[in-house]
Amino acid sequence: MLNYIWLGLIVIAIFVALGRDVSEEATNRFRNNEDLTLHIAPETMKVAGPNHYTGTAYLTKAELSRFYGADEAKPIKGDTVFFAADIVQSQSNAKSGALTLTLPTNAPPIMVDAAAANGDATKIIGKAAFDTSGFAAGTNVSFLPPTVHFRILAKVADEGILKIANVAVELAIGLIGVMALWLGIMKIAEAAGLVLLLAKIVKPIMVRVFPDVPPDHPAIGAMVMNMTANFLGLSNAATPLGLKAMEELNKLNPVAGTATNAMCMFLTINTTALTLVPATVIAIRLTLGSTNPTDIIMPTFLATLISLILGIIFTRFIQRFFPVKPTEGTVGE
Amino acid sequence: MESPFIAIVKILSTAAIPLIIFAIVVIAAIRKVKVYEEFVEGAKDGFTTAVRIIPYLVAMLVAIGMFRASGAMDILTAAISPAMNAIGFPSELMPLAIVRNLSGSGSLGLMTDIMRTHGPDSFMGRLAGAMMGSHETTFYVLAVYFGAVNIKRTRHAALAGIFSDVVALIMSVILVRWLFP
Repeated sequence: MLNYIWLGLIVIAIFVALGRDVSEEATNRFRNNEDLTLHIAPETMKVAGPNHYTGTAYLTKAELSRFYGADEAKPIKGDTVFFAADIVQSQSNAKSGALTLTLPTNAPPIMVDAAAANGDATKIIGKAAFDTSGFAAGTNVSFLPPTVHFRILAKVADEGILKIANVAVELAIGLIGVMALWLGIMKIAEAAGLVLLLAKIVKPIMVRVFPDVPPDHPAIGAMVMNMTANFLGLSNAATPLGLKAMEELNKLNPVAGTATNAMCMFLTINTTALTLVPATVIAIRLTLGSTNPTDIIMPTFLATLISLILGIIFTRFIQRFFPVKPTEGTVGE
Repeated sequence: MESPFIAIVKILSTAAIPLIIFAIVVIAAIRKVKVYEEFVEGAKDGFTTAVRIIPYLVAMLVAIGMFRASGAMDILTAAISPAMNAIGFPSELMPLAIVRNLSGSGSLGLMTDIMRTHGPDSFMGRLAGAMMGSHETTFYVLAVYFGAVNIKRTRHAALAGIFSDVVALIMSVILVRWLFP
């Protein structure tokens, strides 16, 4: 099942990215190698250094629509978009140079896309040719933005693959401390017989939900501790305890590498996230000025409770359609 | 400004971990357990368990990352929205419903955004909160929990997780509508 989901995510992602990129190339959406006409507001221009000026450039909606097409200009409010402009002339009074446009918050989305594709979503750096060298009133600028090719695939490679791979490792490494702490505490609780005691207390319920697990097995104690931590909203403790429970459940696993019914049931219970108090949600509602931030507790709790009960029934019902194949366990690793 | 209920909950969630550790260690000591030795013995596995998860987490998060970065998520959202609208589920919340299963931080940002736009006490704000609170990042949990014990064939776990999430989603809409008419 997870094989197909995983494959599906990757294949769909690449198809979508390629499709969007090819259609952008076919329509030349970014008007690669074409000049866009901008205007300089001469009264704003200031000398910032030798052959270096800063000030304001502007672009009318009509020009935007002529250049990129009417659809791309549609999101713009008002008739004109103003940019902070930074001009470096190639030599004194030259009619050409480099122009850096800093995009305002109301910049056209296509320009933001083009900027992002070239590394910085707030700036477009391109070549500029000026009508006159002195930035007099009415000076037009022919602006040649950098070209944009296959930007979605590039984004997938950068944000989707390389950065995320590192994030995954950081997440795992970040777990080491709490893992060690709670596994240590669990070991003490086990040695003191507390885990067994906990397992005995919840025996009546657990034997029904986990018929394959012996009622006095340490896995029961670990699972109950994980559920309690989840219920109290102690997510820091819940994950290590949950992993400990998985290890205990795995000791009962006859086919290494394949999930048991009990594991799937435990995962279902975990993903329903039965929580007494959704602390993060309440905290955010509080900061956003809610008059009664805790009124969310009731619907959240009931929704989770119902999904927990139905989830357990559903998991029990479908497990027969996903039989364990004994031969697979010995193949490969 | 804070209700007594929130104050009690805050104190409980702050004090719970130290108190649990205290209780376990003291009871164990009374029962003549060599607490320090046992702790170190158990804690040894912390590193190996965390490291064992890495390949599973990389596999899962990269696939999800590609799916999001390519814009496929937005297309999926746009495709499902009309059908969801027809059964009374606001299409603005569709991205949250999908992202919630895939990424914890991503969905938190979306929820905050919805609450800021519509107000935390609006129908939309409350529903976003209920959806956030009643879901878990299913695919992250699958990767981490099965990764820790090297389970590669997960059988019906993903389907069961998705089912529970869909139930929680539908119940959130019904309950928020019912409790806050």
